[in-house]
Amino acid sequence: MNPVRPEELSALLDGELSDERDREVRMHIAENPALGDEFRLLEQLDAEWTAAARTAQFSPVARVRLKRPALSGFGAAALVLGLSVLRLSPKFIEPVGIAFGLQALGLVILLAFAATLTRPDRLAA
Amino acid sequence: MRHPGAYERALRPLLPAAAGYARSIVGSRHDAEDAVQQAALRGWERIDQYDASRPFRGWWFAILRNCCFDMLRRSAAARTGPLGGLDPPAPDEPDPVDWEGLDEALRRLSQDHQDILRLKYFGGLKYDEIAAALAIPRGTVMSRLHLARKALAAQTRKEEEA
Repeated sequence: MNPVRPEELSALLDGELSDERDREVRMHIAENPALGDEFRLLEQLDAEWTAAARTAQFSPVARVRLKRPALSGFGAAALVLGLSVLRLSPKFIEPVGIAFGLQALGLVILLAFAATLTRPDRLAA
Repeated sequence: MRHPGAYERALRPLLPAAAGYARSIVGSRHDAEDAVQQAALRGWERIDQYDASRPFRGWWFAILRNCCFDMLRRSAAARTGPLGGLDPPAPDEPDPVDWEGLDEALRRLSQDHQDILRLKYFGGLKYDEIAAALAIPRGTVMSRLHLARKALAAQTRKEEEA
């Protein structure tokens, strides 16, 4: 078993050691009272600061508006598809009922795309 | 992470700890909220620089840390005071935390030790995340954090004996 390096006591406390090394260091602590005292001192300090830091947390009221990225691939495809259906369906599609149906579909695609543009992106806790 | 929604989802769980962390540096809840807001915006502006193979929390806390220190520098330049630009909590903000005691304990440590203790406790960062935030190796995080705790313990013991 390798001897314990001082910083491994902190790493043990923080759960940052491998399982095997964790077991080894705990065995060292059990066998060495001075090491045990040092570990318990660190544990006490850690408990106090962890509790204080947890109490210090709060949800910030900050609200952030994020800029949208440039037109996404999906958005661009929806835009092109919607415009194409609107423009072409009355000319090339028979009967008229199906053409109107396709026009309505194009309109829905465009409206859905517009909704994604106008939806606010806010960041809040 | 290139979409605002993804960024927001990654950021939202960090905000309460981020606010406490910022408060531990800038000295008031109001300034902490400003710092968190600035960091959120700055992070989004720099999202293209984020390497997805590294911990997001560490990357974003590095930005928050810079925002906090920028704010401190601006405050110090704008006014002088016993706490170097830090404001005591406003009277209408009941705060259960003994900030005076915590600030006092931290101020007696080196800047490196203050930094790593704030990230560990107030930020709640793991070693890999602290390494990313401070741009230091994980082994350095381990040894520096241990030395910081020892210094803090020695400081506490000295105060108890006095």
